Amino acid sequence: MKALAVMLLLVLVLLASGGGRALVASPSGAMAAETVSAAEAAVGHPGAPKLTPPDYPRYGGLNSRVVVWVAAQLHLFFAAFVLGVPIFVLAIEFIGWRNRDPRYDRMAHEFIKISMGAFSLTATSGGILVFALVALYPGLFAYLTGIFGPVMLLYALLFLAETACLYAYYYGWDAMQGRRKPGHILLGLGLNLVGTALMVLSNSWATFMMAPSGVDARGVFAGDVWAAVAGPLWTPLNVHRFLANIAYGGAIVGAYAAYRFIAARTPGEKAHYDWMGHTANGVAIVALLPLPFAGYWMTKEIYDYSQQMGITLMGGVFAWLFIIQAVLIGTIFLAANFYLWCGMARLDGTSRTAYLVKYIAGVLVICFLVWFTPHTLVMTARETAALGGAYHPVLGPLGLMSAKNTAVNVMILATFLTYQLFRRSMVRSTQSWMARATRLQVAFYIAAVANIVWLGVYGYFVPANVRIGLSVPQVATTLLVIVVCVVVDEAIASRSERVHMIHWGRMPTRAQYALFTLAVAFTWLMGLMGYIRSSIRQHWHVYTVMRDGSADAFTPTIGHATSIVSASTLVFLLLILFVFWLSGLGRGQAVASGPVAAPATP
Amino acid sequence: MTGVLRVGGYAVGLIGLFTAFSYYGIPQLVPEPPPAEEQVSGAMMIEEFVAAGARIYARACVLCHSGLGDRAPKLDAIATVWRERVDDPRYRGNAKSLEEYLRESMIEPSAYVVKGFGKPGSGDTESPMPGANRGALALSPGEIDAVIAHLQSTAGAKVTVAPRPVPASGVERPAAEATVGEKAPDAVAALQKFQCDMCHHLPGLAVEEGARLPGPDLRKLRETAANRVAGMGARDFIVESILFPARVTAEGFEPGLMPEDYGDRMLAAELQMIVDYLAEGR
Repeated sequence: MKALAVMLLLVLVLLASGGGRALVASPSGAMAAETVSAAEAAVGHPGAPKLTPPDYPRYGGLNSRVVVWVAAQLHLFFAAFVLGVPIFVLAIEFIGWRNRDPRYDRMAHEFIKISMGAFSLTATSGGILVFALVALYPGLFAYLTGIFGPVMLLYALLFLAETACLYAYYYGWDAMQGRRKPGHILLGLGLNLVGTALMVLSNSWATFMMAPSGVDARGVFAGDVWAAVAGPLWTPLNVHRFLANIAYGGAIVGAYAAYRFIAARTPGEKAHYDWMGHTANGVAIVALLPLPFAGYWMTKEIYDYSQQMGITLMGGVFAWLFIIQAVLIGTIFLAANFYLWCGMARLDGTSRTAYLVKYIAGVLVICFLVWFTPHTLVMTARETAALGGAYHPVLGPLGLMSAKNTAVNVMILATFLTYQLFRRSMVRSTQSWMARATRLQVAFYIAAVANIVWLGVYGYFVPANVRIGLSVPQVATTLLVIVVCVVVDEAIASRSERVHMIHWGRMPTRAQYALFTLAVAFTWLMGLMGYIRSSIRQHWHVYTVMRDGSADAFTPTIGHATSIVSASTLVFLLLILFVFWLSGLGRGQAVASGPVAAPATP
Repeated sequence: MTGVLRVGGYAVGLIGLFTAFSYYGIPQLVPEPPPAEEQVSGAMMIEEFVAAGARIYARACVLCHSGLGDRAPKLDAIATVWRERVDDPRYRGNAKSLEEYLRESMIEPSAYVVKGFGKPGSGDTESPMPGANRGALALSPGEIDAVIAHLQSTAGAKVTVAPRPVPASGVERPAAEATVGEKAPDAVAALQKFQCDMCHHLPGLAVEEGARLPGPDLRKLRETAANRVAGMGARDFIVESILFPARVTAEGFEPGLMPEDYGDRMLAAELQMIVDYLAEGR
């Protein structure tokens, strides 16, 4: 109900803004005094207003930028979570229905229950964000509303549809079992379609601010809303966020499972939440693997749109933030792999492939260090003289994208190998072709790593724009290995004998903290990357079209920016812990009979 | 509840680690404030004009034209290579001199694209460089002249451009991007730049003791600012007083004396320095 109330208020705000016209007149009156150009007169839309500090109302001791920043970040955290979870919930529910396994159904229901708890917080934070924008940045909000007014109204209506679908999907879960299950799955599909539509609509506002389309150089809107929506960065951002939402949803429900595992008192509960954590970790990792590639695509499109913006992103002050990103992604990969390695303890006896873990860990650490190496160091003259130049003579080359692309592709392959080893530990090859297929897989790994490293080295001998393009064959190589190995593994698993039982719940508590590490690192990473994406506009509200005229029109120091990210992450995690606690109320008996040991069906 | 505290504590610790790394593991670069138009006046000596061009170049061009030749072509030998380029069959411009070639390259970068530096897929027919007179760069004609002078000078060629006379209207840009001059290096310099000491006693700026000035004494503002307006912190009070002086007039002083256009003339970083200095003494 709270969500409905907030959205109705949102609709009222949008209607009251009257497509933005009412708010265009700034407090200073500067915009009203501007001469209307021929282009503006022709299309009936004003250009982008030229704002000055008095156009930004201030309230008491509030720092407008920080208020909007935190509100937007919290809304994005919650929105990513509630949009990501239903995607894999639907997949899990479908698997349970097709396999007639009620465990999947129960787990999917529990996942969506957490999402329900977070839904009202999504709507509330969205409402706060809209009000903050209207109150603190009226000129910007009016300009955007003048262009995206119809899209915003559609967004509000879709949010109502999302609310209806989610409530019906969750509350109809028990009633729509048996013959009604297909109907329930269709309802879940509708929920996801509406959710995805919501995401892509709101993405268009962000990408318009980065790479405006449908307007001229003065910001005069030509009247074609679709042209403004479908800007050059819209599709890559849609793909990136779609994948990231799934990974993020997986990480957060993984934290929920870890929290419940730690608090569990019976073997049945531990087994249930261990299985849930394993599934959530799998979801997060599967969605994480293609994310760097979606990120490359997004970055490439940024370069194509504006090389200046691209170099600001990767070669200017923001480049240092990618060192922090490397630390976070390294943390995510190590935590996820650590959890998978711990998971081998669930199997009977010693895994035949356990000895490989130390080598995989070594590869991950080396790749992490390569990714972590900065390109350009900020040094004093004395330090530069001591180093013999601006770059370290040995480590300097590792700072280039060629080395980093190579490192991340190898990290992905190493993580996939960990997952593959876990699966293969459960089966024993029974036919001769299986041994040959396994050797083929090993050959694929060796050839792929050689190709990725070769492309990385080649990148040092070509111009920067060609070097960026080399990431495509590197990514294709990685994906090819994953696809081939999955197909071969499936063929082997379906014709082999199971040699191990999985003892769900036989996991050390420290593995649960690895799941928490994933959730915290994912959240912090989202905050950081969101800041970078938004800040490469620098002193522009809408890049090259509408300048930020406020007193805050400067890029903050890295420390200040990351403090805001940390504060937002902390608030979100406290709220989500509250949601976890609420979700756990009154469900102690429900999982008491969960599986403790099950045949190895990964 | 114990479980919540354990995992909550772990999460806080982890966030603390990430934050600490960001503070202490990464250089705390202070990014530049938004670029302001360089003062290029007809009264400049040629050395000043070239130096102004160097400042603009450092601000707007050097990120790509870094001299390494990896992101954009090197320009150190431009005085000789421009002839080869305009004679190249791929050249689509009209330049007849180095000055014209440089101007053309800045305004219409695709007139000639150095091999290997075109947009991917364009066959080096389209440059990724934005036009210097528009978009995010939006250099004025005077600024473009200054950059040309700087490039000619560094390439060892004769400087053939001179500062233009300032138009009668004073500025070439809209009021919102009004000229604000070079950024003051510190708070005291910023206070002097805006002549705050003409009307106020200020910490760190000596004014004859006992002199009666038209504005309040601000030497103890650090202790009093937080209590001037109920619900408003010291920093916000100072920001408000600078940007909107008419809103708060100190008792015993005449209203309306303080200019109300500091918001247009002061760089954001200068405002921040002044506020830091007056509110916290740093």
